[in-house]
Amino acid sequence: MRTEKQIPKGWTAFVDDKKCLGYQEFKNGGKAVTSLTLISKTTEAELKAELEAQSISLPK
Amino acid sequence: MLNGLFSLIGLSWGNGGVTMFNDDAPVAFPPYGTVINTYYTYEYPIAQGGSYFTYEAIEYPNQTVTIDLIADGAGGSIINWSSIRDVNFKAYGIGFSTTSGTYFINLYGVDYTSGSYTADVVHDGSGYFTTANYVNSFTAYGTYITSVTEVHAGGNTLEVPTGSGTYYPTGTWDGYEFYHDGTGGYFSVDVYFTSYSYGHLYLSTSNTSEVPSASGNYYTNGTNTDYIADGNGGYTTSGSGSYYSYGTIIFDSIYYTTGSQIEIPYGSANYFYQEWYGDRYFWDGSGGYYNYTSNFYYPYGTYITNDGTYSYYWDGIGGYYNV
Repeated sequence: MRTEKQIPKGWTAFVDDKKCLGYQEFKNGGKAVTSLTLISKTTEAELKAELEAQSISLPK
Repeated sequence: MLNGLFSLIGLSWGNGGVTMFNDDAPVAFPPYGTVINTYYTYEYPIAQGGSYFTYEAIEYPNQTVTIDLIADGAGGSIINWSSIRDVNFKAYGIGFSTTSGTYFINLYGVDYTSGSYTADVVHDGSGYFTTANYVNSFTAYGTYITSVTEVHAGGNTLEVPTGSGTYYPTGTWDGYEFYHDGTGGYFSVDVYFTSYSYGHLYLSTSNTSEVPSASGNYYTNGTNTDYIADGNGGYTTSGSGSYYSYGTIIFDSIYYTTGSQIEIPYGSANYFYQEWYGDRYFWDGSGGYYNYTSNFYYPYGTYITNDGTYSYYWDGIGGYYNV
């Protein structure tokens, strides 16, 4: 079910199970109406490391 | 049974015939990052840096921005605040609250309700707010408000004298009654008129005599004609004053200056004749006049000259004084 979620400042990935559909920097934060899982980190490197640690594939 | 068979092979039967569909085909969503919509007047949130004004202790965002709605790849949507652009104040007329109030008329220091209003509180297009779309309700025309006792003139006038074109009130009003005019204002009605009694003075004019006869020159002779109320709404005349006394000078007709010259002031080297020769006219004490021709001193108070410091005048007997 899609719900409204606040996105913090930094980098956030949108994850469907073990697949990242997309990620980007939100310099001033953002919001989403989504059914996906959000994973947020301060830097892009930290985000990628977290996705790898959870065996989540990056978008092509 | 037929519909059940159709469903197994991916067909359905309806009023329009057979429709092809595939229950197992995945629904296709726009890929992550696709711009699925652009908002051109999106309210700029205060939390994201948008400005605001305060109205009745509530903070109202007063700006709009352009911002994109992008796809999350799973049928959802994302807004990235860093993509905000084209910041503008909200347009005039966008309402956000309502207000109401009362109209008053102030009469002799007292407020009387004359109506009420409701209005929308709207953005003014410049970052602040104003009121608009007033709906007014006023007390009906002719509704009594109040009355006061105040003596005043006005109305009920009389032309004095007849044919002069000048009008005077013939009495006084004792007060006013006030009524609503149906548009939030008022009108007044004079009440309780009291006519002037006999003797009330409307006008006093100075009487004149022609001196000399048939000259066309007229001089006030000391008497007056008074126009007074007759007690019945009209006027009558009455005399007042008295003729100038015998020997009062009316005017001089100077033929030439004569007599001795005196230096005025002493040491100035400016000389002036003390006398003049001609006609002098006098009142006879009963409104008539007499005259004779002779040498005369200038009357007391006749101006002579000014030396830059003092003004000099004749004293009536050939001498002078200065002021």
